[in-house]
Amino acid sequence: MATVSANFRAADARRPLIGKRSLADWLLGAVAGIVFLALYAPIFLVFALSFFRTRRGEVQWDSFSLDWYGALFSNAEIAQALVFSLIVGFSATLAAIVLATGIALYASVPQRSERTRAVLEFLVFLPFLLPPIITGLSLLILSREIGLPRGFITISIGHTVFVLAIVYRILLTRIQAVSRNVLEASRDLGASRWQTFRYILLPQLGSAMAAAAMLAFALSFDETMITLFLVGDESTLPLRLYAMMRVGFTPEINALVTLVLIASVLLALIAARFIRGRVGDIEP
Amino acid sequence: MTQSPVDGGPLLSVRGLAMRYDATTALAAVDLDVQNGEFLTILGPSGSGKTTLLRLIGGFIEPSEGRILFDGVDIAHTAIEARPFNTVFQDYALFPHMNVAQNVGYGLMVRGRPKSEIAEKVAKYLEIVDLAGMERRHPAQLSGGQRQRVALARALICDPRLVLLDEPLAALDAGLRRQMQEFLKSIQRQTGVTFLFVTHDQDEAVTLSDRICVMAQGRVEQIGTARDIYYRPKSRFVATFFGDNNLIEGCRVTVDGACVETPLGVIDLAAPTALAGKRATLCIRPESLSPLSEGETADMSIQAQVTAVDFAGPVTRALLETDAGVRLSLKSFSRPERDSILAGARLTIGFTASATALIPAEAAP
Ligand SMILES: Nc1ncnc2c1ncn2[C@@H]1O[C@H](COP(=O)(O)OP(=O)(O)OP(=O)(O)O)[C@@H](O)[C@H]1O
Ligand SMILES: [Mg+2]
Repeated sequence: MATVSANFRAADARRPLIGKRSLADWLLGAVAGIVFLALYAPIFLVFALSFFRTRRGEVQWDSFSLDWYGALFSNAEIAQALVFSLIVGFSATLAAIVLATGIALYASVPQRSERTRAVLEFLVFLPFLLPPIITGLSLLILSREIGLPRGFITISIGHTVFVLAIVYRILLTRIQAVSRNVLEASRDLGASRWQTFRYILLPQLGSAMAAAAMLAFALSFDETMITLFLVGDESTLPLRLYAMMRVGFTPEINALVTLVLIASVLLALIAARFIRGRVGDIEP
Repeated sequence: MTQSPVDGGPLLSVRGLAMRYDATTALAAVDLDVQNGEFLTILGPSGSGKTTLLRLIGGFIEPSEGRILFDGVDIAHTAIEARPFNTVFQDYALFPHMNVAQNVGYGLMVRGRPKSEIAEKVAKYLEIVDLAGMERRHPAQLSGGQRQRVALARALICDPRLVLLDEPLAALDAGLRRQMQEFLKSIQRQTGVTFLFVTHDQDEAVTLSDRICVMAQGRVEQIGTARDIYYRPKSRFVATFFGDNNLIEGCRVTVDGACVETPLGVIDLAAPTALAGKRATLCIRPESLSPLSEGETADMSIQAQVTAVDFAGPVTRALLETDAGVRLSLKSFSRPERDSILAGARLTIGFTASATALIPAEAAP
């Protein structure tokens, strides 16, 4: 008896909740379609507008040109902002990688108590979860108090604090996946702590570091709110964009957004590959 | 390759070594001498402290108490990389991002040896472990047995005075395991390096070891050759840990220690005992009892009734009950004809005094 009813239940589970041709199915499909349209239509529009001209709200499909890209590249202000954003992104990423590696190594020492680990994790993650206004404002007040002029340094510090959490999480996960025995084996074979880090741990962290760096860079690149409080004379790209739009919309902004979009998607895809890691990266 | 200690004393002496974690005592005051060039096996059930002892000697953990004397110096708190010992781990612990040659050469590389010397030694040790030609493979591309041999070569290349092996064969299937046992033994003979080997498998311990150290509950129960441990157990634990044994309770050793009164009769003791005048339990292996045919004699002979017979191929096991009511089990080689061991039959069985051992009687319940 028991097996019979179990079989019935299994059959029930296999029967779809909604028929394939039913009204409900059709409605759900329509909702999904609308959501995706709403999500991607603006992006597509920007994409299209960076190549085509419009007249009275209609896209002129026969007007393909790269003019806006040309205009973009000859805009010195945007070029400056782009370079500044890249420099800030690199600095913040580098600083976050170094700091997060240190903290993650400290947290993953086996004698460390669960409590210490939880506290560390909380402290690292707080700035990421706090409203950026708070992080930005408190860093601003601090820089005032210690007389640090606003600019590259303050922005880099703000971005480092902001991206530290994501870098820390990725690195900690990878460090914990490295077999403890392997590290012990290295020491047993006569390697110092430093040699063990250099020859055994670091090579196994490589791909995780690359992934973390890409995500950190992407986060830093479009960070706006914290930057707003800390910016000095030189502006980052998002702030420059915002400033340009207040004066008036120029079509080269479409070209810029398209470029940033493509770069972000590429970065995210590569990072995702690295996070998964190559087979044999960790386990022998 | 290995110099023997100047005075011919033990290579390593462990004295009063103890390891306590908050509530548990993993190791309680262990004494152990490791002789130079021997294959010493630490044998014990799960949780008996074998790994703890090995890790203390290797320097992975520091003891709560006690000393580890090496060349007369206490190294209990010496840094791990400064000890001339190398470990072969149960899960091999090969470096996944390095190939076989880099794995094996690692110990020399971190010591800053010249490349040419490393290459030469790596080739030599890969030859020894029968892996020549595998230099470029990565650990993921090796079988379990091959990984094991890489791990062994990686340890041996550092010229260790002592190789520590923690259940290195546990992950291998039975056939490969037997093969690797022989291999380990031959490598140990060939190199003359001292091996300290941990296992919880009795057969493995007997096959491999010069001496066996039996552990239980964080203590050393007995150290000796396989034959000693098998025939001369000093405790109830050791007496029952290896295969079947007949434990005959209710014996008493005479005050002069010359003989022991047992329910099977009075047995003259061949060797002196520490149990003179004390209550004791007599141990005798089932295969040390043999059915006597008409006219045969033995040191001791007793009459018994066969209560059950179990033919198990090469051996036949029988349960006996003596006239005094002592239950015994007997094991003897089977014969093609139906022999004298038949259920219900009366038998005369004999044994020699030297096949018996005395252990302290169980404390009164
Ligand atoms: N780090 C630790 N913290 C707390 N208790 C521990 C620790 N390491 C070992 N123990 C305890 O010490 C005892 C001995 O452990 P050990 O690993 O030495 O046993 P073992 O003989 O190697 O067992 P097995 O055959 O299962 O490997 C066990 O009761 C174990 O729970
Ligand atoms: Mg163990």
